[in-house]
Amino acid sequence: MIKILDIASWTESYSTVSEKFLVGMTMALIGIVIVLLVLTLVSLFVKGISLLFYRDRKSESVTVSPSRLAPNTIQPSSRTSEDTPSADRKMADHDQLIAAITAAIYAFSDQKETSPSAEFIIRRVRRV
Amino acid sequence: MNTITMILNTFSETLSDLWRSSGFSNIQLSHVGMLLIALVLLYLAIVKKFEPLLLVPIAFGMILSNLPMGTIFHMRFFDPETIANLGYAKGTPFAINELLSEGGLLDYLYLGVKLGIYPPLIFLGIGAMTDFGPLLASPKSLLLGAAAQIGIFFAFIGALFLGFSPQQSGAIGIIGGADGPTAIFVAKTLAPELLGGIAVAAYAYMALVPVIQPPIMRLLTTQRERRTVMAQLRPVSRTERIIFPIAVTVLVALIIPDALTLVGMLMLGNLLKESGVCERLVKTAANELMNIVTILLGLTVGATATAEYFLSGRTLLIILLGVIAFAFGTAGGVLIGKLMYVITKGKVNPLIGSAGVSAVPMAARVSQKVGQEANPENYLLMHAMGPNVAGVIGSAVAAGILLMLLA
Repeated sequence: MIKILDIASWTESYSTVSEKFLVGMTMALIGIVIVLLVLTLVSLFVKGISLLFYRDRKSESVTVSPSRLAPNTIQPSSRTSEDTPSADRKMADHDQLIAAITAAIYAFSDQKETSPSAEFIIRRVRRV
Repeated sequence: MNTITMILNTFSETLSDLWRSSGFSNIQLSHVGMLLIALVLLYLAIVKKFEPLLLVPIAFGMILSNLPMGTIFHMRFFDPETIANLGYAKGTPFAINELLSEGGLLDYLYLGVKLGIYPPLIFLGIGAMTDFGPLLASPKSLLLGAAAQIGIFFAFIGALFLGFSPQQSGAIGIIGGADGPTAIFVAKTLAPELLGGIAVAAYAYMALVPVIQPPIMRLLTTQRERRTVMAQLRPVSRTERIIFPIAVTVLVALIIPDALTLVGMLMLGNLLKESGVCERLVKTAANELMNIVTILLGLTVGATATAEYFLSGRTLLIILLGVIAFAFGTAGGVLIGKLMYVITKGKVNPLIGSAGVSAVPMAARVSQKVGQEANPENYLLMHAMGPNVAGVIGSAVAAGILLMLLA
């Protein structure tokens, strides 16, 4: 292992309170600065990958409808959020809810290794 | 007549031998003290439900190793002084010949701690259970996770002043990371003689997060700050989730190679989860493996808290320094949270900063609870999960730094 600072022997050669304080503070400062540096770098990196990939995902999210997950099996209605007029937002939310539930059921049935081609149709969702 | 006397003598001698070799004739006050401490921990775990999954094995390990004349665990086989007296070279981690000839079950299981096997496996399980989504959605959370590590270095200075060696001070300081496996991983390398006290203190403080943190959080924030409602986090793409563990592993390993063991295993667990193609492995890492290692780790760490090593003034100092480390860590996170509140003009609730002390997910829950006390309609949990998981990375990095500088 490469020794950056031989703090141990350093501390042994200093014994007064002020010297110990100095060594302790130096060590603490080095430690805090490195932790901050590493996590700041990670933070910048995360920011970078979000800039690169989040936009892709956003455009993907418009195209990825549950129908991609379960082709030919989801027929909540022929309407999509794009077809829906903004005034009819409630209906769009309803469709999204149906799509999300459909995707979840499909994912679950896929997980359980039931036939992925098993067809099902969600016709109605009722809030309770 | 002689025969009867002989039989009676033999009988009494046998009884006498049995008594001498029993625990009853060898029990000392220190054993009773340790058994009482174990019972208190069991009470906290079973009745108060403080970290029961950890405290029950730890407390039972304490009982097993503190019963006099027991042969299940021999702390002396791992004591550097005893190892040197037995003629082994300096730095030998355990008395291998004695271990092989006289070792008990817990001696062998303890090798998993001594060789640094269990803590990384726990990190693998944590990685498989952790959702880094909140952190990816809000990268500034990482700064809160870094700020909360300040307690580690405050406790380090405090321990130096109290006469501990630099290595021991580093091992004590890591309690402030509020991460049991990390504390064990550092202590087994830097100060194995303090492992019992450090592990018990680290887990006890993790369990006491809901008690220790709220007063500090309230003290350092105003009612207005605590009422801050944060905007909903953005969704995170699968690509980001997959790239993150790989990138963090490479980045951290290049900067702090000593942090690689913990961070690498944490990120492996997370990659298994986020890849979406290793479902069986994720299930094993997050459940079966994690549970098995938790039992072994808890049991063996508890066993190291033997009367002769645990009942000393040093242990009390460790416990005192541990709470200082924890309090400063919490304060560090909240203060940086306050700074973010000012910089973002009130968009960040400073309470999420306290979650940077790693203890997942309890510290995040505390942020949520204290936030809701100020504003019942405030939901900080997901926002606090960012700094919380950042704290796991931060404490592993801090551990790597301590090992790099002091080992």
